[in-house]
Amino acid sequence: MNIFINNEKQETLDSITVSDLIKQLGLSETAVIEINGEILTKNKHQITILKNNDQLDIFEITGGG
Amino acid sequence: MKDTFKLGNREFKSRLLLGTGKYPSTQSLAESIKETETEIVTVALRRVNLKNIDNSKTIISAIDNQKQIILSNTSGARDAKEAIRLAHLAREAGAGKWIKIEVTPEPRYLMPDPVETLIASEQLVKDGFIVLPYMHADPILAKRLEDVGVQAVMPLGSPIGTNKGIKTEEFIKIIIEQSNIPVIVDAGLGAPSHAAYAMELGADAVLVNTAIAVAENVAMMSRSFKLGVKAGRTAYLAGLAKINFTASASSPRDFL
Repeated sequence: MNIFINNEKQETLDSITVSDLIKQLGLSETAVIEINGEILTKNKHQITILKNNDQLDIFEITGGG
Repeated sequence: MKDTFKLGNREFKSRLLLGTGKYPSTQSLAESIKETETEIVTVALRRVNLKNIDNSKTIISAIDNQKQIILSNTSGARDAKEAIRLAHLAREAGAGKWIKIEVTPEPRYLMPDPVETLIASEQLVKDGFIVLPYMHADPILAKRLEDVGVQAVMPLGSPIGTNKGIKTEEFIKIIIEQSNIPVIVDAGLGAPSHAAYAMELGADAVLVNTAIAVAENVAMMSRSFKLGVKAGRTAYLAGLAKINFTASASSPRDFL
């Protein structure tokens, strides 16, 4: 199925969980995800299954002043 | 007696806050954290670049949670709504509840939007964050922010990254005189002398990023800023001599 990550279309397996996606992408522990405009808390990563056309925004801590 | 300052129910010995942007490497940042002896370190939040994910030596790996507080900033936010969103994202990322509000809609000078900063500050205080807003050195705004419950104000010395030093001293003095919460001079401090000057004016602390991160020798510059902050603070506590309009000889002028 297709999902959007940071506005870019990505193909993924059907019924993939957010945890699996994070592992697949190689993201770090501090990555934070919004699904369809809402923050998905970390305790829900394992139990949230992505659907076709879900819009994900993924952020990471970086340097700043 | 220790000369500490209180922020968010904690006491801090170091009056030099450190930004983590623009360092040539994470190793360099780690050296800077060590040499400055900073206890508060700012970070930002950005969208992940899926084509270039490298978690091997992240900013976070340079920070010791036992010794340094992470102060996430909302840099990139152009209005209160974006700042509030970034703050919640930062908290969920594990960066804690300390937040520096930075709302800068205009990229050439990165001046902080006072209206959006006040709106974001009020909301984020209600949401349980420890809020430190970045602002122009506006004494009335400083009071309005204090009234909505921010824990410190961060008036700018000069625009971010310009290294111009303190261009707002007359207004920083007013803020320091009138504020009941810590005043942390932030932005534009390009040399240790600028940081020392801010401390001599009576600021509680300063935040430095660019001037240290882009230095030829980051470790030396880190030490230098640490010393500058200490020199300025000690001078302030020692009681600076007042400025005179006319000369006043150091030795008696009679009996020549």
